[in-house]
Amino acid sequence: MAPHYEQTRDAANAALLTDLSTLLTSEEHTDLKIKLGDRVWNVHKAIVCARSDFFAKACKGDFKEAKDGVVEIHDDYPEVIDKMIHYIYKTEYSESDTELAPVLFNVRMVAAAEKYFVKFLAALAVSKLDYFISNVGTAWGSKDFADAIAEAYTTTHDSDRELRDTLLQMVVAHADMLFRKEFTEFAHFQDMAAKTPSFSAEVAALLAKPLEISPILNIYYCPGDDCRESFRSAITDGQRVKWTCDYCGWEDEDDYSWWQSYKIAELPVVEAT
Amino acid sequence: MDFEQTWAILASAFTQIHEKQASKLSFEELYRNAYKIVLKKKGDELYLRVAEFERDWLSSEIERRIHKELPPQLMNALQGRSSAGSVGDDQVRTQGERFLRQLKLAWEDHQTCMSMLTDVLMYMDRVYCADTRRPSIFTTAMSLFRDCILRSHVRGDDSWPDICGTLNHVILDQIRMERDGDFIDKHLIKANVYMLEGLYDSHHEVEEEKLYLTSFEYEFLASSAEFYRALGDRLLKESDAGQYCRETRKRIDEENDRCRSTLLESTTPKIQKVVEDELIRYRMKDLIESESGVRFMITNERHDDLALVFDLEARVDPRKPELTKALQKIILEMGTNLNDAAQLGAAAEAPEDRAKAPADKLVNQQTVAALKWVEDVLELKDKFDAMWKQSFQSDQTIHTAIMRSSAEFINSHPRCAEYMSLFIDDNMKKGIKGKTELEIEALLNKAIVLLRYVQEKDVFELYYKKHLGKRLLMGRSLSIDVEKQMIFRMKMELGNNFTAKLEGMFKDMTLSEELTAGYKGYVARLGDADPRRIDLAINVLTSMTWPVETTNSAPDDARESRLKTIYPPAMERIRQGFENYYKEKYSGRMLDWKGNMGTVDVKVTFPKVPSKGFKERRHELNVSTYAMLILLLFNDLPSGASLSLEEIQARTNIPTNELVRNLQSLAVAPKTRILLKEPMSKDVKDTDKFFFNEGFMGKFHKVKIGIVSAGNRIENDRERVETEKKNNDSRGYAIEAAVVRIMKQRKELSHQQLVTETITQLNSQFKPDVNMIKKRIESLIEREYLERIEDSPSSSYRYLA
Repeated sequence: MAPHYEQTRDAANAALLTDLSTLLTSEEHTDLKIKLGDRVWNVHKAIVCARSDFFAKACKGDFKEAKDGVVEIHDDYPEVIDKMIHYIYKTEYSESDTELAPVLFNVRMVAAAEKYFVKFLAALAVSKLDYFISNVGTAWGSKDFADAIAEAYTTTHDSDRELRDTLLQMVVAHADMLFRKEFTEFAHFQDMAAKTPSFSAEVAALLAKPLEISPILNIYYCPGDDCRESFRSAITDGQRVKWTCDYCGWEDEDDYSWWQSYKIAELPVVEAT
Repeated sequence: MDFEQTWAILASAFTQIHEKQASKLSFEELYRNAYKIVLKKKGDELYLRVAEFERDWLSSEIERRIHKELPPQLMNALQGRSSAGSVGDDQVRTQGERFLRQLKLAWEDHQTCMSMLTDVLMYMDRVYCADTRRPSIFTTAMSLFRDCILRSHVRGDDSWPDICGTLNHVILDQIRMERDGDFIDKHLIKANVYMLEGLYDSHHEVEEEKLYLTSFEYEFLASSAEFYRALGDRLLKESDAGQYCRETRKRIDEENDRCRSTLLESTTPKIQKVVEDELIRYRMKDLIESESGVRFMITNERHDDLALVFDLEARVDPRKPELTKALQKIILEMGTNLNDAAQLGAAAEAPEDRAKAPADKLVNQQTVAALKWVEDVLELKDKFDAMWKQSFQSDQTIHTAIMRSSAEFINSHPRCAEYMSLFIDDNMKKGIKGKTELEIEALLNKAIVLLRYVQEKDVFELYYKKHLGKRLLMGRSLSIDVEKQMIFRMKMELGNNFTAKLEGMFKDMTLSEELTAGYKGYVARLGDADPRRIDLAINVLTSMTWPVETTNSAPDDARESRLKTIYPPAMERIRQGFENYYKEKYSGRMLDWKGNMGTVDVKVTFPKVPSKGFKERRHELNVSTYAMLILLLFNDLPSGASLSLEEIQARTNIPTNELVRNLQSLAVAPKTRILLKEPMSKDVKDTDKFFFNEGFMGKFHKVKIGIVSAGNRIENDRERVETEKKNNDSRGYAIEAAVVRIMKQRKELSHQQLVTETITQLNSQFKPDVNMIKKRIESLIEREYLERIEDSPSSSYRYLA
């Protein structure tokens, strides 16, 4: 059994969450309005600004929002913003009551989380997405899945690997079906792939025939001053690598652990099937 | 989305922000536009555009505003400051302040605007800059301020320093004014300092490359050094040392305050070092040796000033070399003066007065001079001790210096050991009379402290034994208790060895008292209640414990001393009686009677002398044992008969020199002339005849007949030669003993090591002379205690068991 104080603490944490969601529904003490089209959310600066850097910046300083106590946002989906605000108060949201397919909804949630810098929301949305497409057997073949990929590649930034990798994993697993022209039911997907070259390029890279010994090719950037040139190397512990930069002319040789401080990214390991 | 169109919206908003009209702008709109640009992978372009925008803004609008505040006359004044200040201080100051204010404003505006822009461009900073590892737009904009504003030249003229250099000049100029006593706007300068602190020399943002360090601080320290060098010159010329110290303290405090209020605290240690170097480290020697320096302060008891000197030098060097050196020199000089004065007091009156003044008086004068010397030394010591506590914070280094120099001058006085013992003697006999316990305690402490300085402890011991012996035997000590306390202290200070013999003397005294009482009882029990029996008080002295001159007669009478003194029968009976009693108690001991040491009360009847109208008079004379023997001879002599010196000697066997001395006090000293001498002269010759002085007339019933040189006083030359010889002998033994002790333990040792160890062992007693050690080693080799090791590279010895 957990010690007594832990039980007390857990109960208190639960009460805090309940109180926060009551605040949201009761709209008591609100001091900020968030407007989107004709929808308005009455919220609390203290809570929203603490959870989102966007609102924090908007409410401070000399801008109009700070004076008016109104933040009018644009280009967003009302139901996504609504769930985002729920999340801000409750650390969770449910997409079951939306009209949108969960896969599309969650991609939009990732985009909103990134745009408004809501902590941990993107990660939650990605894992919900992952859960959905992994557990609904036919999800990968749906039209919504193709639309979700299109949105993911245009409304989130390139370095958001989690979302992309989740989607890519599913695509690669079913690539032999999805990309086959004879299967006209996937025409919508194939059309999307044709219009989203950055997605197609990533799929192609993943489908390329794996090397005999599959090394982990990591990306390193040039240690030369101010040089942002990068290169790939399969260096492993105990090895040394010499590299000459074509861009700035920097040249040196050093061991694995030294190079680790210049590593940019680790590529996902592609299992050879 | 069209980039140019979106950027136009942003650019116009940024202009409004810079013009402080942001309140109508929507944060969300700007953020959304920037967000969209980055999402469309145009972050790179956006970043460059923003930087370009800032560059334009700074180098047009802001640069113009700053440069406007730098009119040519200000620039000229700042440049020409060192040669001639043509423009009035007030004008330069006002213009400088306006420049500072404008720069401060520009910097603060720039920061405010950039912080707003950064908020708007948050998505670019967090996504684009992070992915491409570019510095944040804020950082870039700060560097732009440095490049576009601080590195710009007024009216593009390269012959003048850039804005950053000008800023240094203006700040330094203001600091100069403050140092000269003006008030300046510290906050204004501080704001500019913060700017320099916030910027770096290049885009590598490393701590050591902050503009404050690379551009300002260096110049500040250099110009400060120059300022304080000049100030030091002036102060040394114009002020006395005390003022100099106070000014220096004030300046150091001021610089500390300045760092806190106007510059940065990180500069505090650096500027302190500059001031300390210029005003203390490079000047301390001149300051201490100046006319109003340490010597003057000591002479005039300027304790506060001395404390300042100490404080200042302690800042730059914990060893305080200059102050220490000066103190040592001064103590040595003062001490040497005391030594010279003592020698003068002891010697000056001697040659010319010898004829007139009796030798006694001369000796007394010398003794007084000796005591005065000790008093003076104590006074000097007290003075410096007080100074040490009051002005030098009881500092250990200074203490050592004072101790060393004191020891040096005290030991440079050849008779310091004798003088110190005399000083204690004088106090034991007279000084402590009527003093409280506390005062006596203090006195004893002083004596011990002085003793600590004396190097030749063995010489001191010799004198102390001699003086103590006389005090004890003649009952001259005011308090045996205090005597014992003194011994106890010496024991604590110098160890058991030193005091063993002195304690033995006290033991002898106690035993003697018991013996005297015991003998009295013994006689009473014999039943021989002779009413004319003579009372006997006896002191039995252990011969090795007491000083030689008390236990032996004068050494030049070696032959005579072997002759037994002849006592008259009455005395002889008592002598035998005591010896019988003593031998009963302690068998196998030899008693040697010392006629030169004892005293006797003699009742004398002087007959009527009608010719002078004298009635018969009775006196009780206190005389030495020898004098009693002489007087008793006249008992059997008819009135008017005489005895020659030779006759007296033949009938008593008193050694010649003792006899002469006693006859001098009986027949020459004017107030105690019990005998008459023929011819009447000061000197006593073999052929002189002595008569009983029937016409003696004393004022008191009791008459004390002192013996010349009975009291403790300074030694004459002959005595000192003797003491030295004795001392050399005992040192020789001590050295031999030490050498044998060392060799017995080490078996083989090189000459050099042996000498060093010997010196170390004997250091607490005296400082052995190396030549003496060599001679003693030779002697030990001759006597086959040691042998030389033949084929050893350096000369070495082996112990022969």
